Amino acid sequence: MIVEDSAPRSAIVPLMEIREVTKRFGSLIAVDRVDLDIHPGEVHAILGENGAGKTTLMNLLAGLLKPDSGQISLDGSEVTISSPRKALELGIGIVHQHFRLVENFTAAENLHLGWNETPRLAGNKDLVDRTHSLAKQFDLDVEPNARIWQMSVGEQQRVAILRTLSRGARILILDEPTAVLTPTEADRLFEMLRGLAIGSNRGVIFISHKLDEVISVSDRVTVLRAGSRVSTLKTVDCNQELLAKMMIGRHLNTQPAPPSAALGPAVLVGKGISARNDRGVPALEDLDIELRSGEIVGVAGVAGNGQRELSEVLTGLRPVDSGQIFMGDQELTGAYPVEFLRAGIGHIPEDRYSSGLVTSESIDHNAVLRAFRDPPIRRGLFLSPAAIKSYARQLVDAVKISIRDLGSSVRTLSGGNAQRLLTGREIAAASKALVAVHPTRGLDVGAAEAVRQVLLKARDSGVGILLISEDLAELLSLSDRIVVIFQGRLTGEFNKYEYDVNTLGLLMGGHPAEIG
Amino acid sequence: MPEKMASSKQDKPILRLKDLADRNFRGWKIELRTDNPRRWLYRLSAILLGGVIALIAIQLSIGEGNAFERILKATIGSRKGIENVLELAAPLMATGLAAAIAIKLGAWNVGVEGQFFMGAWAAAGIAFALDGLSGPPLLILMFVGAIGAGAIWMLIPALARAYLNISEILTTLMLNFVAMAFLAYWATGPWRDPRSQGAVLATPKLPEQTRLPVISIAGVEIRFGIVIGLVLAVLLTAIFRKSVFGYMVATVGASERVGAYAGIKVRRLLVTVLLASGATAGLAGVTHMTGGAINRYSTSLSSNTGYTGIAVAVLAGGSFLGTTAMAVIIGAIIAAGNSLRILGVGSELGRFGLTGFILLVAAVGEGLSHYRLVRREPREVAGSAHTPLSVITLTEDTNI
Ligand SMILES: Nc1ncnc2c1ncn2[C@@H]1O[C@H](COP(=O)(O)OP(=O)(O)OP(=O)(O)O)[C@@H](O)[C@H]1O
Ligand SMILES: [Mg+2]
Repeated sequence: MIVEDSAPRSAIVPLMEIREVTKRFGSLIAVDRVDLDIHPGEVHAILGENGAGKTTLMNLLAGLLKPDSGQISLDGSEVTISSPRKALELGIGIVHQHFRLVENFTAAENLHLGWNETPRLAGNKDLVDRTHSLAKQFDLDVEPNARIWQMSVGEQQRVAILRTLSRGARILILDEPTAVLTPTEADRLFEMLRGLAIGSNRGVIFISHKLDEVISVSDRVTVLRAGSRVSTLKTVDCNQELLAKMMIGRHLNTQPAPPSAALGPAVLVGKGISARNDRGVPALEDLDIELRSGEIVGVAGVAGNGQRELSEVLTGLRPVDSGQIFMGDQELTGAYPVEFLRAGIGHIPEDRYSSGLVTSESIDHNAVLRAFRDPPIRRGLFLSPAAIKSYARQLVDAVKISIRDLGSSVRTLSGGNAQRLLTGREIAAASKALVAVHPTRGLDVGAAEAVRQVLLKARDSGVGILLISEDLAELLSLSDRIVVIFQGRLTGEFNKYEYDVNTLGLLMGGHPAEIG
Repeated sequence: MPEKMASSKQDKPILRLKDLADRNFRGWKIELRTDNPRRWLYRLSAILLGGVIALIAIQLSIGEGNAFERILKATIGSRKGIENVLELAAPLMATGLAAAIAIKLGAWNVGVEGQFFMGAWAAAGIAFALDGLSGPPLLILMFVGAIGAGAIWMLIPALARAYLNISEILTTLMLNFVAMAFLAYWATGPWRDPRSQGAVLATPKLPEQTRLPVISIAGVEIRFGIVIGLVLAVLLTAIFRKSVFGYMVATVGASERVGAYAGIKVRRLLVTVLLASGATAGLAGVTHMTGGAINRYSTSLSSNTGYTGIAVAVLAGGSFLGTTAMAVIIGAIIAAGNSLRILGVGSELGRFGLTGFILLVAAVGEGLSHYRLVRREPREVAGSAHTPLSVITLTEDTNI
């Protein structure tokens, strides 16, 4: 029997009390009379399906949106959070998924930018010293003199967190902070969050779709479904199954994927590929890769070892310095991206918003982004609005997003729903091969499982899939073959059932290993 | 002392529209809206409102005479007024459309003025060279030449933008000055009309058969440029809304990166669209020369027609049909400004003061169009839409 843990126990005065908070977008109730308490010293996880209202609720707390009704109290007195600035004054700080740091500035400069406690006429040394002592005070590992673009995503995130904390945030909100982190970086973040919360008068609100993370880092969990709070529980009373069930209202079957049934001929092949990244630095060096029809090849590696460049080279978006690309017998080296598309190669890009979706355009515009050249959508020089609508409707239904108006902009979709739209579209476009980068990033457990099933189905129908992911568990369960990428080269290859996690880990870290 | 200022701001917050949003006023509240399908209505009413206020100000500032009456007569109050407004609007329609085409891709063609002149130049050259031809074939050749010349004048900026990533704003602007020098050379040199004198340099009149017809509707004479502008606007609207090309422009206009991902040849599209913009400006040039009052190639062919066209397109929010409407409105403003000269209001003051003020009000209207006033919904409505999820059922059947 689970004991509901929403009522504040008499011993603890909550840091923040949220009562009956509601937010509507037109006729949609995104957050529906939600109650939530944040206690001092706790890490409070928020769970919920895509579109459940998690981000909206956090935006209400951070002053980015205003509630239609309900009260928010801090230390027992009611407050109105009219703007992000007001939120920070009250001690509520949010760290977004995109950290909003200035790429060309150092950590110290970013930390002090637009902060009214920045000393006047401070020289670089003052800023660095202040940054050092702040980093020490919060026990965060931040290098003051490093520029943001030189940092890994995890380091950037620490700068963003330090910036929020040093401005006096007592309630730290993190919206899907681990979606962009490598597993090791995520572990460091958890350690840090626990250190920040335990025994302090701070509270941390943590949103994630990864149930194991929620279980390992949080003290309590609140589950939202369709805008309403389902329950708030102590984490010690929970397990993954229970949480999944509360979130999606049904049991989740996760079985390891059966291996590929019929391995066909090679489809997408790269030979001796060298290419540079956006800064002109070599990112891929003499890399060979072969993808056969009907298999899933997993690419394991720590972020920034050439995964992004590899995916772009194989879809025609990035030119190669040397090497050749083939689709079957057809050579595609140097061809326009549209030739790759015509050859039946789909692409789920790393960053859905800046590369794969036009956020200012409607859902139906985005739905046909890959198919607008083909009849019946295209009729001669013109597009058929009716055909676009029905294509978009089919797609949206297939990926199970409930959308009333296909004309509304993609910006109004929740992060996970945008990812679903993109994934469904690309799987439809991939008749021969699919380059999928983090296809389940940001998806709730149910949706992630659904996407995995769709990938397997595509594989079984003969599509070759290159799966680039940092989620080792996902790679291990889906891949028929795993290759390891390190500093732009493939450093290992394993068949299904032949890999062991330790060797993989060593190779990902750049240690040569006996390849069996 | 930046922080001093910042902290004093915090003590006494300045009331901003954003703060007003979602605040209640006796059952009403101002709400931020994510999109507004009727934004053009706001623009239009803001401009009209600005015009009315400006009129009142002018009337109050002049001692005698009736500014209202005069402006009304010079614009929509008389047949002559309407003809005058449409004559001023005709070239602005085409130059406005030229600028609007580039705006669809997020690009700025500041060279409309130059392309306008190059179009007229090519057409004049063809007319002088082939003046033995009869009207229709000669006119067709002139139009083709003008469209081509406008496009060619855009070629270098377009290629530089697409392949070298050099801002088209600077290159197109600079080519305007080259075009002006070029024009002066032809008008003072090879094509000079010996009788022209003073500041206005001009060639002889074009052959009579190259005059575009004037159309008469209900007794009002309408320049052919209006017809061309309207037809063009409808065509462009259809192309950009319904065609594959339009879809690609909308995609690349929003993000070049996503455009490339969608398999669109971004550079080629950029060049195509910029050339189309230049071609339209060239068309504006020949239309104005053969359909306007001047009928010769001269420095007075344009009174900043190209630059004003850019303003027209921006005010219309880049919409093609909106651009034609806005051209008429700006035409009316110019006509009104001209008519005030008699009352002692300088024409320049009248025009620029008026235009500036109206633009200001339009900008405020634009800002306001992001908000709306709504009545607070009664509590019951919210309650009925609410379907509580039973916590108890869930915890019971999880059964751990
Ligand atoms: N600006 C907006 N206009 C209209 N609807 C919106 C807007 N922002 C969010 N929504 C809708 O509100 C609902 C909740 O969205 P929200 O982003 O809070 O979900 P979420 O729980 O964060 O989901 P995810 O896990 O996918 O990030 C969704 O249905 C979304 O489409
Ligand atoms: Mg979200």
